[in-house]
Amino acid sequence: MDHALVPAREVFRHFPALLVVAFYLISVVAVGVFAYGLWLRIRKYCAGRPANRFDLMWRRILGAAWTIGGQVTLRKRDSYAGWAHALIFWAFAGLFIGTLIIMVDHDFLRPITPALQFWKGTFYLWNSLILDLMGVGLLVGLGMMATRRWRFGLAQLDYSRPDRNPGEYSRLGYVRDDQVFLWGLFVIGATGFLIEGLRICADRPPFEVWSVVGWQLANGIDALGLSPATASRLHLYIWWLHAVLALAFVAYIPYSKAIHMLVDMANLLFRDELAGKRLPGIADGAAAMGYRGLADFTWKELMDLDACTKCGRCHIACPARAGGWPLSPRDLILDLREHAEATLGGRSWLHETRVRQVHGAVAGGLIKGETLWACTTCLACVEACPVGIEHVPLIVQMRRTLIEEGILDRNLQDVLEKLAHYGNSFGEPGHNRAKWTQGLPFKVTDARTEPVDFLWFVGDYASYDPSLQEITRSVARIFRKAGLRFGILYEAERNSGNDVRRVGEEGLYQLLAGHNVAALARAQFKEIVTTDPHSYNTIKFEYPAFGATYSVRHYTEVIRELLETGRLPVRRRLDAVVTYHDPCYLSRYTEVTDAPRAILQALGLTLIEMGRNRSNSFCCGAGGGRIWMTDAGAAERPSVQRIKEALQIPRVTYFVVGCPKDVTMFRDAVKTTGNEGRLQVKDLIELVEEAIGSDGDSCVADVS
Amino acid sequence: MKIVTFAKHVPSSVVTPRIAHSGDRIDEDGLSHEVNEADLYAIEEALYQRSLHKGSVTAITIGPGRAKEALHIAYAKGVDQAIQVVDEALRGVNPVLNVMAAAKVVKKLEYDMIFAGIQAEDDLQGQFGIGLAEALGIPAVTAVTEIRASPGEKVATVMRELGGGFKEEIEVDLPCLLTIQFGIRRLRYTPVMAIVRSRSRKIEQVTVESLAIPTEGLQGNAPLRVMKLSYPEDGGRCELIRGSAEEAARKLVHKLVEAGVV
Repeated sequence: MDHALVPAREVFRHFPALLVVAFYLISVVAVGVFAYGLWLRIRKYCAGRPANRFDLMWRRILGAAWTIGGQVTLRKRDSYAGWAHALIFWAFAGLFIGTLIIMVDHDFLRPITPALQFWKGTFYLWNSLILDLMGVGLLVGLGMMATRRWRFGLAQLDYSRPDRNPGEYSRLGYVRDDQVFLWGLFVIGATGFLIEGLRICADRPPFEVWSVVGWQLANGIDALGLSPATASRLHLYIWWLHAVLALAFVAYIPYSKAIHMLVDMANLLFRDELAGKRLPGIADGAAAMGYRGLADFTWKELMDLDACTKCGRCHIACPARAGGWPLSPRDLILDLREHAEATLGGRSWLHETRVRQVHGAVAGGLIKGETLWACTTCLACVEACPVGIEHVPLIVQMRRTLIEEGILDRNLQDVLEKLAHYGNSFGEPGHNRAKWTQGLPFKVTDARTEPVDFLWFVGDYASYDPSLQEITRSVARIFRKAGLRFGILYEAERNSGNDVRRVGEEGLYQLLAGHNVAALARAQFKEIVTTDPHSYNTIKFEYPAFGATYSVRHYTEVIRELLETGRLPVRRRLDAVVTYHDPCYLSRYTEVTDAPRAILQALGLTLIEMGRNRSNSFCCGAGGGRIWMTDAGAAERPSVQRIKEALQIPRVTYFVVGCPKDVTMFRDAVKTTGNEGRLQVKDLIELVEEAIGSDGDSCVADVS
Repeated sequence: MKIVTFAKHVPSSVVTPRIAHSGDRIDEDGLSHEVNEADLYAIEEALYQRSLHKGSVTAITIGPGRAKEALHIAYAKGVDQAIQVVDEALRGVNPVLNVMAAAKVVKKLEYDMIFAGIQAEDDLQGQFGIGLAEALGIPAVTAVTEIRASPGEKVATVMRELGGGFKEEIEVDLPCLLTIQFGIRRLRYTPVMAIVRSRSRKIEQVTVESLAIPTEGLQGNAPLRVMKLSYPEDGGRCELIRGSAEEAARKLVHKLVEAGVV
């Protein structure tokens, strides 16, 4: 074959037959070890309980392809890491395809007939160019990652645990795994270039100028004064080094963090878009609710455990961790993974080592009660996770076990008992629920007896908390002023159950939700409007399981429409610098982030965002039933941290929220930090009323 | 160790009770019921003792059909056996009948200890446990706050809290009856699911009639008769202080000083 005429290269350059055989033998062993490791993992998932993640398969495939191809979740909020990973991902994929091409050409087509071979000529030249560029991408990406990991000093890459003392465990295994993975790939990439350079240096085929990196490398080797014969000999050694490393890497994949290449693709394919928003129910006839051990986990949950790459995004997003509670979503997943690997197989070579082993149930034993109770179910971890791990449903399942076992905060127990008896968390009689309406100059329609357009689901806090009732009346006045036909359920309304469910008291949730669904069925209305984002979530996403699907909106969405259609004319534009805190249940859960901002704009206010906004909002610390618990964290409360974040904004006067629990939490935080003079916590509706004027107001003079 | 406990189904405070026309009892209509709290402490303690000494816990309720809900809760808490004495006529509110019925049922059971709540929330009589011990001819200790049982030696040492922080330690032979003081142990939470699950568990039912208790002597001409119930008197005085915030605060301080509070 004339190389000068047809560009190509010999796959096993100058190899004696024995070495070729040796190569194939090693390859078979490597692939065998890989397949065994992969099988161990798959066998582990098959041991899981069933979960239906096979619906809407095309949507899943397209969604996963978009997320993975575009590295969307990785680039979100961390473009450095995202782009570095994109370089590695695409380069690795490209180089893998390049290897597959050679395999098909050399090992499948050539034995049939050399006439079928295509890895030559123009194709070979383009292939060489592209793979050289891919190689550069890989090394640059890895270099960026190494710099980030070992030079930036990022909090998310610090593996220390918030729940244990340094001497009680060692995560050196995790650090080693990172090193082996990153430097392993780097050396494989670098030796790949080196053998190309040595080969070109030895043979100098002129068309190899297309291998841009290899050609320059060959020039460099020349400049070092290496003779073509020496280069040719060295080529053999480096070729083997490269081959053995690459095959060792293949074998190493399923026993290390490298498995994320495969597991995470599957994990993203099978993720639940409503994870956390719509919690799983309880199987009929179950002996106990919740997750006592690994046998209760679904296959997807077992896969979630393997999917974690310890990127730490959940770790730094978690308000419980920030507030000094023992919970880190990352460590929760890693603890469960270590446990699953130890008991169900599919074990990583490098892992955490413990001084003290924990025995007993998973919930309350391996994962301590106080860790599980620390979760605010704010969903920041699920939202931040680039690989689709669903922490919150898992935490709730384990909380269900704690509830069964009676391991819960005393105050929470009192509140649950009040909820069971009275239907509200305040322990007030049901007939006091609409007592707040007595302060209004008009009667709020009883939706049980009169048809309405908007059924207003007021919620516990807005109804019973005396410090919030004026805000609730404000909503009523604004609705009335806009001429809405709205009504409430009076004492027929119960706590929506959203947070009760997230506490893990599923039976009580079903009682409350069942009661509300029955009450709603007796009322005539077109859509539901809620004051409380938590109620909004459960009515929207979870009540349909009770056979009740409604059109639901948060009051900010309704107000926005009223402002934009002119049904609520702004009489007095407000002039102030404000910042807006996205409630978790309004941003991450129900994805309402534009309406509150549109309202602020319509009122004439200047909105300056905090660093963490919209779906990246930072929880006030009240969600998931935390508002009913009393255990304190070791650091500053999340609400205080948030207020301090807001105070960074120059000239900010209002801290605007759209959730009754936020008003309570942040007013308290402002008070306890002594910032009452500097920052005022306002519910959106208070500002709306200020700008619109309420019924009976003589606000003519206010028109500016 | 075998322990027998009782769970009275009493009106809960969710709904304010109304006095019936007859004037000697409250109207059942619209009431909601719960397990008498003191009985929950007795059951909780019984379960704790079982965790120490093995054995079993039986819960008994006396009352109309609805009272079996009390046994669902007892099952949800963890008792092993539940018996209802169905009393549709007096609805489980007559302490004399209750003692007689309980004695008949308990005599058929094996037991080392009987735990009763210190009192029932609905009548605050506090005589059921004592009466039952008398009927069974076993010793009774009331208002117990701590139990150290030695079932092997057929003896138990129990603690009672007297006024002013004084404590009394009593040794009592088994079998015995203890009335259990509030707060002897923290009540564990009972999940709603556990109650739902326990609804399908077997409740042994016996009627008062089948126990052959002479009920005629317990109504009209009983040695002890409820004559009249009355509503709470509106005793408190409420005064609204008007005026501007400063003025009102000044008035309030003045009044507090006058009342000797400040």
